Amino acid sequence: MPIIAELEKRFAVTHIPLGGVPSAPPGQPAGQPAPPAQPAPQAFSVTEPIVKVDPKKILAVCSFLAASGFDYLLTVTAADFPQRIEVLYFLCSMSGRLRLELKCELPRDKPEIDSVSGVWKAALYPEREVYDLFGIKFKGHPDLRRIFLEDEFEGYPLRKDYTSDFLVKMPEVGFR
Amino acid sequence: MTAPETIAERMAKDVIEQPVRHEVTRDLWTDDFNVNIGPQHPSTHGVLRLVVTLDGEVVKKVQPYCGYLHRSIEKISENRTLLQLVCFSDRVDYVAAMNANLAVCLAGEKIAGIEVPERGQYIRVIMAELNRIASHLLWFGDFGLNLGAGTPFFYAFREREQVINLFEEVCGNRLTYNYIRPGGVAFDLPEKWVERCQSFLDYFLTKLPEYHRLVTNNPIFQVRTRGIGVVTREEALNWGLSGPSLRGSGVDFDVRRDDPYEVYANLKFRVPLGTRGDTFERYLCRMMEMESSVDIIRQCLEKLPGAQGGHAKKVSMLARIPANREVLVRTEAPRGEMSVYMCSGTGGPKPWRVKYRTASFANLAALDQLSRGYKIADLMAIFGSLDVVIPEIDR
Repeated sequence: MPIIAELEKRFAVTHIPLGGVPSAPPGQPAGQPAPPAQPAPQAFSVTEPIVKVDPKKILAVCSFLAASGFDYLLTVTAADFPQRIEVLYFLCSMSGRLRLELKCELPRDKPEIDSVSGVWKAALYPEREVYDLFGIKFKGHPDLRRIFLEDEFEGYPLRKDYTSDFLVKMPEVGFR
Repeated sequence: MTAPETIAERMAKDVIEQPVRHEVTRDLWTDDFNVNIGPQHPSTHGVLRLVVTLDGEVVKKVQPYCGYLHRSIEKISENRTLLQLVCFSDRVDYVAAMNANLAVCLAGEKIAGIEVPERGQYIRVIMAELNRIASHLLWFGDFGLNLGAGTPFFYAFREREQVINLFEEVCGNRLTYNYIRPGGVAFDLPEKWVERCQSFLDYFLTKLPEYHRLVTNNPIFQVRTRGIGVVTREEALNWGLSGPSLRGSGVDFDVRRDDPYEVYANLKFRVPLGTRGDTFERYLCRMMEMESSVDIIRQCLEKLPGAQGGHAKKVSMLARIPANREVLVRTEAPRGEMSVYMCSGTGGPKPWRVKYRTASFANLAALDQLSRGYKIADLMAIFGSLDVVIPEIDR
C-alpha cells in the first residue's frame, strides 16, 4: 500500500507486512559456526498489515490517515503482555476497501496515550472500554469514565495479572 | 373553505421536507429536566439505563449507562481452548447466536490454520442467513412495540417460530445453538431438512408483503418514522455505525459482499441501500435484507455439495494455535459488523486475547447524536431502529 510507505517516510513507523517477515532460509551447511541468535519473532497479522506507531505520534498519524481516506474506525482495543500493553486501532477506508492495523506499545506501569476521539467519534466508547478494563489513560478524551464496571471497582480485569481463584495464572516463563 | 388535510394527503406531499429538528430559541426556554429510563424498561429490550436531558419535550442529551449485563466473556475466552470458547459466543448475541458462533469460529480457524469442507461452509452460510431472518423478525416485532403497535409482534413471532424449529431439528437448541464449531458444523443436516427449509422460504416470501401492508404502508407509522433520527453519510461513518444502520445512510458497504468470508463470494445477492438515513430507511433496509437472505439461502441449498465430503473437519480438543499471530475477522451479523480479534501470544491451546467488536456497542454510542433535537416520544423509535441487543453491548 502506498499509504504505508508515506507513513514510514513521515512518521518513521515500523511496517509488519501481512503474513509476517519471511524467515531466514533453513538448513545451515555443516561445519560452519552457528548463526547469531535471531531477535524474538514479531507478532504478525494474518488478515491485515500492521503499522507500529510511536505512542507520542498517534494523534498525528491518525489525523493524517483520516485526511487520506481512512474514514472508518472499526474499534480500539488493547492486549496485555508481560512487559508492555499494546493499544490497537483497526481502520478501514470505505472507498478503497483498505484495512490497516495501528499498534502502539505502552509501559505497563503508567500507560497513557492521546485520545483519537476527536478524529473519529467511533473511538469514544471503545476508549472508555479500554480505560475500564485495561487502565489505559486516554489524554483529551471528553468523558473518560468506567463504562461497564462500577466506579469503585479496583483493578483492571483484562490485564493478565488480574487473576482470581477461578482464573488461570499468568505464565512465569518470560516472553516479550 | 378547503377540507382539513388528511394524513394521507400529507404523506403525498412528503412530510420529510418539513423541518423536524427543533432548535431551542432564547425566548422559548425552559429548565432542563432529567428523565431516567431503565435499567428495567420494556423498550430497552434488556437492562440498559438511559438518562435523558429534556428541554420541554425536546431531547437535549442522552446518556446511556451500560454494564448491567457485563459477564466479561472476553476474559473467560482467554482461559478456554478454541472449542470451549465457542459456546460463550452464543451469549454475546443470543438473538443471532449462529452469527456470533460463525464469527468466533472463523477467527479461530484463521489463526490456527484449520480448513473447513465445502459442505460445512454452505451449511454455515444457510444457518447464518436463517438466523438473520429470525433476528430481523424479532426486531420487527419489537420495533412495532416501541412505536405502540402490538400486532406486528405476533405476526413476526409466528414466522420466527418456524426458523427456530428448523434450528431445533438441526442441533436440538432453540436459542443458544453452539452449532458452528471450529472445523465445520457440529452435525450434518437431518433427513428432509432441505425440503422443509425450502418450504419455509416459500411460505415466508408470501408473508413479507403482509408486513408491508400492515406496517410499512401505514400512514401513522410513516409519520412517526420518516425524517426522524436522521444521520448523514459522513456522520454515520465517523460514528462507526455498521450494518443496516450504516446502509440506511447510503454507505454501500456490506462485509458479505465487499470482504467475503466463507462462500459468500460464490453467491449473488442484493444489498439494500437507503439515501436519507432516517428511522424509516433503516427500517426498510432491514425488511429488504430479509428478502436477500431468502435469496442467499435458496442459492446455498441449490449449490449444497453432497455429504461424501463431510460437514466438518475433526479438530482436536487441544488444537494448538501457533505463537505470535493475530487475526481480525470481519463478519456481517444481523445488527451490523461483528469482528473478532484474536491474538495468540505464546501460542498453545488457548488464545492470548479475544476481542468482540460488536455492532450494538458502536451503534449505541451514536444514540445521543441521533436523538438530539427530537421529541422524547421519538427517542424509542430511534433507539429501536438501531436494533440494539444489550448483551452484545456489555459482553
